[in-house]
Amino acid sequence: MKEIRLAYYSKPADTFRFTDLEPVLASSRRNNERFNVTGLLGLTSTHFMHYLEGPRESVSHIFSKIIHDRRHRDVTFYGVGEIEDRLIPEYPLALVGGKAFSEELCTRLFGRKTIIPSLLNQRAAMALFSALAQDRMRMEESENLLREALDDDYFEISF
Amino acid sequence: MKLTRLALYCQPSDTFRLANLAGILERNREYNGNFDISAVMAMTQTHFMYVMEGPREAVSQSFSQIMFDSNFKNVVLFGMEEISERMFDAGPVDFISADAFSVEFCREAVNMPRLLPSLLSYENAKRLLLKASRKRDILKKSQQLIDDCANEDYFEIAV
Repeated sequence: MKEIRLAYYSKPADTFRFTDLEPVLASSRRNNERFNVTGLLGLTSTHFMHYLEGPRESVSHIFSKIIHDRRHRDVTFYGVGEIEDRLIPEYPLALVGGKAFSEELCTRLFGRKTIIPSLLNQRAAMALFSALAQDRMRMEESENLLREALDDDYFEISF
Repeated sequence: MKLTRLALYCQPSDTFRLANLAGILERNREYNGNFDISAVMAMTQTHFMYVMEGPREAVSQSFSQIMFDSNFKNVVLFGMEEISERMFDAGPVDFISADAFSVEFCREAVNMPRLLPSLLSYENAKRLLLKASRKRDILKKSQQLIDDCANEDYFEIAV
């Protein structure tokens, strides 16, 4: 069985609300678990950045659902490649919020103070996902923030 | 601009007719021509295989269109990578019919007697399509078959 990783960035649709994230995450996690796919969803102040890994057919199937989802648009690939080991094997879909993309991390990885997804090449994007996958503290913080925000109705995706 | 290569395989949908191919190729060629994408589309007895090269955003958008095309189903990604130069000396979409994939050809290209896309790695898929796309006589014959079939209504995809 061939396992692959797939990474892309996209923009939230004009009607997207921060509180839409909870159902998106819940259904994505259910689907990912069902198809043995793991991954990470990063939120910058302007874009989604998404990393998926698992069996080739499963990742392609999940991605076909993602690309049809009207809550985001302008899906652009960073890359798709075969893998030996998973980067984030234990999470169906980890969430990392804007604070994870710190000035220190961005400067260290690609020499800029802020994250601009469209400027990242494949290598830089993968380095970023690797760093984010190790930041368990930020993942937990992001989940907590999402839970706290559920009663609100932010338009902004940054937090 | 980031130049990329993407390869996939998929199945024809249940409603696919061979007569649809001329229209599919025409639309695809127009889009690819407008956005500097070069591509090779091959048909096996059971699947389509497709490789394209071009700017990252355009390739991503073209892939989205394939996902939304009701002629295809079960789209599976072989891989997608950034490249420094194009490997395929192809037009907007060069078409290769199943005739190209003889036992001898498949053995020579990927050491398999038959072409089974789901068993191919990304590297083997590229090798196979590259080898087939360099056979100008096959390309010419394949295109002629499409032109001849455009007014017919075959259900079978093999030509």
